[in-house]
Amino acid sequence: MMKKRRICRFCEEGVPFIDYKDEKVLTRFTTDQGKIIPRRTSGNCATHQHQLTVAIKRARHLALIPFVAEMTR
Amino acid sequence: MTLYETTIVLDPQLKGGEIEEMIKKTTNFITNHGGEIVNENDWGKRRLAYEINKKQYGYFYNVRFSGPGQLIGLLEREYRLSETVLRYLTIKVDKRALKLEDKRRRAEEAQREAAESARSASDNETTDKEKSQAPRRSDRDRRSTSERPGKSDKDDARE
Repeated sequence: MMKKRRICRFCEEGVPFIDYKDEKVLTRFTTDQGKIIPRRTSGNCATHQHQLTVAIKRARHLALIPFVAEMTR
Repeated sequence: MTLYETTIVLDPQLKGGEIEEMIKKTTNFITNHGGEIVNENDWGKRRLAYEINKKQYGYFYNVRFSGPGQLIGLLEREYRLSETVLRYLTIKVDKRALKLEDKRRRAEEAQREAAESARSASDNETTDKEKSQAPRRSDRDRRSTSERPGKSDKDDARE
């Protein structure tokens, strides 16, 4: 899990856009269950959080990342 | 004319040529309806994050094209009619996405150049490095071997 962080990671790295095809980036901002991590936790800025949610939803539709991940115990 | 990008997920269980046939059909459909293909990307067979129609795998194909807006409706209708398309996604390409790709391309080129320059440089320097490194190593070894026994003897005596 991610700890509270104030600086937007994408702004730090100077990422201009978050693409639905980069599942590695997208999975970093989802919980183990597959939920989107809120920006109050991840520290993302409004611009990037919006791009991220759109990208995650697109990727979910194409089955690149899960809607709900089954918990493997 | 707007720049669009469409990704389709096909049933991977189709017989050999059928996947290619379907891909050709869609690309031809785009070009026949006033579209112009910019870029094609074959992602191949991938594992799906969840089952779709009892299928674990899907064949992904991504096409970037520019064309009139009416084309999109027709294209998506075509997708819905065919049973081999498990999922499809057609989006307008964001200007910032192009920026991102540009950035990546530049980074790759820079890396390649750096690698090449490093390679050529190393070719020239290897002989020098080998000469300079060889004596240093032997010096260190000599020092360490000579110092170790002396120190340990003193330490033992103190204790």
